[in-house]
Amino acid sequence: MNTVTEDSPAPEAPRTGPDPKQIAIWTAVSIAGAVAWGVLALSRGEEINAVWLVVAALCSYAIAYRFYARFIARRVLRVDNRRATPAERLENGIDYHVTDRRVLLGHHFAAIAGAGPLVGPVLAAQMGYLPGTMWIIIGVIFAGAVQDMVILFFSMRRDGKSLGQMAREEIGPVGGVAALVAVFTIMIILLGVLALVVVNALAKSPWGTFSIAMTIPIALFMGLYLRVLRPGRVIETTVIGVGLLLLAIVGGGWVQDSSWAAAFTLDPRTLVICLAVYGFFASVLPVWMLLAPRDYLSTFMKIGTIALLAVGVLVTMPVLQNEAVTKFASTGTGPVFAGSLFPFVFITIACGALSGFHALIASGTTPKMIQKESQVRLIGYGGMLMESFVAVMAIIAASLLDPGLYYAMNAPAGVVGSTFESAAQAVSNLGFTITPADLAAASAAVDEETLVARTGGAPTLAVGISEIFSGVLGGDALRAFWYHFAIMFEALFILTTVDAGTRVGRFMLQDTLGNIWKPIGRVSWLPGLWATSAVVVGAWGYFLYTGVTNPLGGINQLFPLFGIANQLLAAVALTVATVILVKSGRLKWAWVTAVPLAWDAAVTLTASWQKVFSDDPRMGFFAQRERFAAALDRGEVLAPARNLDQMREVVTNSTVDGVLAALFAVLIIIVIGDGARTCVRALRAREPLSTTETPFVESAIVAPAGLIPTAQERQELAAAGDRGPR
Amino acid sequence: MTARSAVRRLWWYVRELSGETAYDNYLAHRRGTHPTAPVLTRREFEDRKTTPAIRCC
Repeated sequence: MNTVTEDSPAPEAPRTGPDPKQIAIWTAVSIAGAVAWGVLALSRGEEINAVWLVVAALCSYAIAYRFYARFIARRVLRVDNRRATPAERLENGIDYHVTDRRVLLGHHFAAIAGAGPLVGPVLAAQMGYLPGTMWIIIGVIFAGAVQDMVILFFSMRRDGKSLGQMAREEIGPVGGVAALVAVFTIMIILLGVLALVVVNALAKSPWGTFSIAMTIPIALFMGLYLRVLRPGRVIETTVIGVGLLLLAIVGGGWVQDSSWAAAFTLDPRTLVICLAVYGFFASVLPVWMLLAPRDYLSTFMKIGTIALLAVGVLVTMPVLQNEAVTKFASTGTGPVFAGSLFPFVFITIACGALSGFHALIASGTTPKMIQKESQVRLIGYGGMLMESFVAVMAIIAASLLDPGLYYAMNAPAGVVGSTFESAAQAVSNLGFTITPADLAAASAAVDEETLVARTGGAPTLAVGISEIFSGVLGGDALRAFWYHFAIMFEALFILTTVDAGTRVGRFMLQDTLGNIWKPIGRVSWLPGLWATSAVVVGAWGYFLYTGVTNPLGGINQLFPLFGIANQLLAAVALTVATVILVKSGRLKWAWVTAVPLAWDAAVTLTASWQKVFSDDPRMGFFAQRERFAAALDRGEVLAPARNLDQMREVVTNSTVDGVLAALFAVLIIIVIGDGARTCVRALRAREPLSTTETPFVESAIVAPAGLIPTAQERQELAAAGDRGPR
Repeated sequence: MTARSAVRRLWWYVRELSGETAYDNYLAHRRGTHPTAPVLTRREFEDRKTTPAIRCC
C-alpha cells in the first residue's frame, strides 16, 4: 500500500534552450499536416488523392507523439526511470522478462492489430471517407492511444495486474464485477462477429474455402515439425509454412476450376458448423499443435501484408471514388448499418481509434516485459498510432471502390437480392449507379461467382487491396490472386483471434466457475475442460448462427452491438485510469482520461439508447421486434423475411440483441457511477486512499526511451557499457 | 552502419520477435541467477504455455 511514490515528482531532465533545428522540423511537419487537412476539408465534388489522407494522418501522429504523449508521460503519469519495472524485479525468464523496446513494440502491435482496424473503417465508409478518417486520427490521439499508454503504465506499476483486477481493487467490488461481466460478454460478441466476417467471405467461394481449410493441415504439420523434427527453429518453420500457404492460395484457383469445386462450395450454415468444431478443438488440443504455429503464420502475414499495403498506397497513389460525406451521414438510412453519423461512426470504428479490447493486452503480457518506465510512450502510445494507420489504409482501400459496387457488396441480401440485376436496381434505389454488366465484370475480375451482398467488410477490403497490389505487381492478371491473398490474410488472422479467444474465454470461465465448484477450475480435468470449451463455442456459435441466418443481415444487426461492447470496455479502462489519477492526488490532470471517458460514454449510451428505445424498426431492436411480432400474430410475412419461421427468427434475434444493448448501457452506468463514488470519497478523505501500486525499487538497467536513442541516452548507454544487440 | 551489421541486427530482431530465442533467453536467465538449480527442458518450457496470447480484433 503506497501512495507516496506515485505522488513524488519525477526527476526533470535539465532544461535546455530551444533548438533551432527542432523548431524548423516541427514547423515543417505542422505546415504539411495543416495543408493536407485543408485539402481534405475544402475539396468537395472533385476527386481526391489518397496521399492527402496519408500525409494528414502521419503529420498528426508525429505531432501528437512528440508533444501530447510526452506531456502525458512526464506530467500526468510521471514516468520514473530510476524505478525498476516488474520485468526487472520479477524476472523469471518466462512471463516476466526484460525485453528490448523494439521487440516489445513488435509483440504489442501484433497483439493489438487484427481484423478490427480493417473491418470497421470499411463499414464506416458508408458515411463517406471524411468522418471515419477524422475519427480515426483525432480519436487515436486523444482517446485510443491515451487509453493504451495509461493502462499499460498503471498495470506496469502493479506487477502487470489485469484490467479486471485493477477495476476491483481501485474502484470497488461492484465496478469489479461489472468489469468482469463486460470482459466476458465482449469476448463472446467479438468472436461471433469476427467469425461472421469469415463466413461471409468464404460462403460459396471454393477458392477461399480451400485455401483457408488448408491452413489447418499446414499448422498441424508446422506444429509437429517444430516439436519433433527441428525443436526451436521457429523462423525456419514459419518460412516453410508461409511457402505452403502461398501454394494453398494458388491451389485454390486450380480447385475452383476443377471437379473438386463442389466439395469446397459450402453453404454458410455448414461453415458455421465447421468453425464451431474447429474452435472446440483449438480450445482443447495442446497449444503447440495448432495454436502456436497458426500464431506464427498469422503474425508473419499480418506484419508483411500491412507493410505491403503501406508501400502499395504510396506507390500507386490511388484516387478516392467515395464521397467525402454521403447523405447517409445525416439521414441515418444507410444499408450497411442503420443510424446517423453521431453516434454510429464512433461505434463502427473502434479498433484504430479507441478500442477497449486493447486494455486487456496493455494489462496482460506487455507490462510484464517492459524494460524501462519511459518506454510506455513508445509501446503504448506509439503502438496504437501504428494500428490507427492501418485503419486509415483500410478506409482508403474501401474508398477506392466505385460507390455502386461498394453498396452492392455491403448491403444485406434482403436489400440487394442475389442477382446482378436485382443488385443494380437496389443500388439505383439508394441513389448510386452500377450496371449489371459492371457487377458481373467486377466479380469475374476476381474470379468470384458473385460479389453481391458479400457483407462483413473483408471482401470489400480484398477488392480494394487487389486494386492497389495489382497496380504495383502483376496488373489485371494477378487481380484474382491478390483478392484471394487478401481474403486469406484476413481470414487467417481472424481465425487466430477466434481460436485463441475461445481458449482464453474457456480459461476465464473455468477460473470463475472454479470459485463455485472446485473441480471445474482444474485446468487438467478433461470433462471440465470439454464442458467449458463447449459453453464458450456454443455462446459465440449462437451469435454466429443467428448472424448467418438473420434475414435482416447479421452484420447490419450485430456489428453495432460489437462496437458498443468494445467501447464499453474502453469506458471501464478509462474509468479505472481516472480513478487512479484522482486517488493519487492528480485531480488537475484527470481530464486527460476523463474527457475521452465522457466522450466514450456519450457515444456508447446514445447508441444503446437508440438501439433500445428508437421507434424506427430499422434502428430500435424492440421496435423491430414489435413490428415483426405484430405481423406474425396476423399471420403475415414481412420482407425481407420469406416465411413464418424467418419471422420468428427475427423476433427472437431482435429480443436478444435489444436485451444485450440494454445490458451494456446498464454496465457502463454502474462502472462509471462506482468510479465517481470512489473519486468523491478520495477527494473528501483527509488521508489519501490506498492504491495498490508496488513500492519503489531502484533500477539497474540503462536503456533508451524511444525508438532511436537521443544523444544524452547514447552517453548514458556508453557509460553503462552497453554493447547493443548481439 | 555497414551492410553486414545491418543484416545482423535484422536477424537478431527477427529471432527475438518470432520467439525463436525465448528458450535460450530462459536458459541464460537461469544460468545467471540460479546456476546450480535444475532447468526446464525445451519441451517442458513450451508446455508451460497453456494459454495463447490474447489477440485483439
